[in-house]
Amino acid sequence: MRGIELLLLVVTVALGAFLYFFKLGEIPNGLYVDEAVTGYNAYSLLTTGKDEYGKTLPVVLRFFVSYSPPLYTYLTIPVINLLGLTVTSTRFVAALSGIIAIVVMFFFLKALPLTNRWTPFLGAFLFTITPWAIFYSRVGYEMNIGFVLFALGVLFLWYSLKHPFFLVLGIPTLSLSMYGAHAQQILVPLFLLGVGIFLRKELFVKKNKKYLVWGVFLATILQLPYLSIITTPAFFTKGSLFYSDVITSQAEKIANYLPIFIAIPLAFLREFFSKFLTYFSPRSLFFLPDPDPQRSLPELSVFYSWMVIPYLVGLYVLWQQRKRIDVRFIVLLAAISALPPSLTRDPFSTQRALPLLLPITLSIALGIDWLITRIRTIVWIPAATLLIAFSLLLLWRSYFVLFPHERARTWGYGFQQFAEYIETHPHEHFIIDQSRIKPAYIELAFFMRYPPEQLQSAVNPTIKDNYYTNTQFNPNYTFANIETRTIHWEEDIYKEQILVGDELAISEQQAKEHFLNRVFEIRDPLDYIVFQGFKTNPTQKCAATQNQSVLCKKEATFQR
Amino acid sequence: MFQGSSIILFVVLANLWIWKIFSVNLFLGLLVLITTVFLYLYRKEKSRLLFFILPLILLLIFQWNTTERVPLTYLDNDEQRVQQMRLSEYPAIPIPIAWWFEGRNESIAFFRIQKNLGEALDPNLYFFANHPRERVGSNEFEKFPYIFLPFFLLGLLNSVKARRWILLLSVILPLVLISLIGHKNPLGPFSLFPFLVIATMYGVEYAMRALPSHYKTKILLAEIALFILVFIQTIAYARY
Repeated sequence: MRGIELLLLVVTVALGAFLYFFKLGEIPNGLYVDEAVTGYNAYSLLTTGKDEYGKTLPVVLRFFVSYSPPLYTYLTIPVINLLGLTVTSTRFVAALSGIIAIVVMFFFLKALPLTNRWTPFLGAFLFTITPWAIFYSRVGYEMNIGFVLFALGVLFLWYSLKHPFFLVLGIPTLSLSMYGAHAQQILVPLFLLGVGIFLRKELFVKKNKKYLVWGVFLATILQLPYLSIITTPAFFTKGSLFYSDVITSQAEKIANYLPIFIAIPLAFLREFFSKFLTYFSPRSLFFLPDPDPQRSLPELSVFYSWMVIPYLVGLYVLWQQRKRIDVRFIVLLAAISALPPSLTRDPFSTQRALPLLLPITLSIALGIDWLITRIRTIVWIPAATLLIAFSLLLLWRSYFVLFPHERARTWGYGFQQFAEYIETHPHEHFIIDQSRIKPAYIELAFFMRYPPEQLQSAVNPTIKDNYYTNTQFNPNYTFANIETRTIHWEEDIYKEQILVGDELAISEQQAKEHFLNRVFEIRDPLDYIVFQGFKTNPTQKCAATQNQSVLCKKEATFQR
Repeated sequence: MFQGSSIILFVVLANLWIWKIFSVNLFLGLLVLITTVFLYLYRKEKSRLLFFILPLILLLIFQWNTTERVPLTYLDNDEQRVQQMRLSEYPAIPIPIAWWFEGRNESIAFFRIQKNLGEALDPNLYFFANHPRERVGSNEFEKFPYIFLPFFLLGLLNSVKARRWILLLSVILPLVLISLIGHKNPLGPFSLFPFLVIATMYGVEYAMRALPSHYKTKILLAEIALFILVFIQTIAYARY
């Protein structure tokens, strides 16, 4: 690589480092519950060698019975050891994965038969500033590690078509990516099967045999921990995401005209293909954010809108050059990457479809290559500069201005402040209304850095003994001076404690009726109430109700 | 066995969109048909360009007239609330970038045009009644059976390769118009109907030529059977 090329790559990686690490602890604003559970379990494993349930070095992490792939959490352990249990340390591995992904993307583009020598740099640069890449590089749970390992494995597999040795690296790396994220657990076997079928002439040649054998052998060794739980519910937990009920209800519409054994497959075909197409639709990729507010940025889709032009050109190039092996590889990668999310309920999930980021970026890069080859340099360089500058402005607007304000509550904003309040009131007892919020216990345990061994002892011990088979999750916890559960109005108002909930948990009328005093309020950046705490007044309540409740006794206060 | 004219007849009639247009406005339905036919005839005789352009322009005028047009810079009550909220979210910096993004009519218009264009570019709108990303407040309806989709894509890609510029004109002009006026039309973006039909027709022709001759009849029969099932499915969804 020449000096200027190396400099361009370094600049791109440096920009990525800035975008992925800048204010990493502050944006996203808050700590999402999946981040909290990841960070806290990494902390628990670091300090006790066990997760929050007391299981020693689990193969998959139970969390909220999602049985999440463990790699991200285990990789976060040394980071927490260095930086402490913080929001930044929890997100660190994702950001680092994002940096590595930039390099992987660059080398992938370098390996393609592109016409213009600047396309790999432009493609890697655009990947770096893509909203989809930035978003998941700043999220403290497993998605990005799964993506980068998958991308790396795919790159090695691509290299192996010319240099068979890379099979020894590619297949095991893909196997390892299955410990990265749930999507890869389906994606990797399907992708390897697809490559084995559609590229069999290039792969299954005599000179590749020993490398194939070694690659498969190493990959299988890596899968042994997973295979040890294959008979348990923990092995595959995403079955409930399949839209069987939707198919049934759609088939009922058709059953008025056709027999049910035809109606059901037809309903499935339509549901599947409509979702499959959405993942390639320009509207979803360039104009509309993910419908889930936790997984999207305000007013920005996963790619910038102007990228629809090179994307459509890239699709045309893929069609025109469809006999080329690199094109078949990219099309196979795209088609298979869209399969897992097309089988789930979400209309468009940027999280489950994250592996698609790779082939779609490659497609856009092919389109850019086609365009800049036909447009004079004196035209495309200023145009590209303007478009990049405009994109960065849109990114700043959506990610660094609107997102921290408008999605703070979705991202668990308020728990840190709440934890601080609890720590400064150690003699108070808190009941946190769990009915409408994500599991509060783990957020509080995170921010209070609650000793893991004590949280482990607060958990039902049978969970640890049936770790991979007990699929019941109870968000109600009692630890420290906290209880997370629904408020029991017939009892809780007669005990001296602080009732905490969102703005709907305790109405002004209830507060008045039960003589509750508001003692704190936590608001989000848009000034909406996130938490409000009301101190009970059992004496006044009992007096007002003439001691009707059996709880109206002198000792009706918590002793800590 | 299957000529261009029979294919186009099949594609034009074997969709629910044209029947919906006819049921609402007979003249508009005829206009849509005529434009489609002349777009098809153009490929045989280039001198018929005017015969295609005139009905296309008329179709665009109809699209304009029948669409509930909202000014590109209009903000309803909720949008105004969001605008005020966002103006306060920006940091205090010397340049009025908050106003440039959130307040200026040019910005509001730009983002609205972008949104309208995005909706028009969604293939799900035409083949799956916008499922699974149905628009809030829109009455989505079935247009083409989704079995036409691969033929449409095939026809479109081959048309670009063959530089069928008139077909591209038949899509660009309606797209520009719809981006400006929006999608509040009970009959949808019907000015795109000729383009969709002709592209699909080209795709069917291409697929027929590509079929190996010894399997052609069997594949065709299977396709027809599948088409009938999917068409019934589309009717079932439309009537539900």
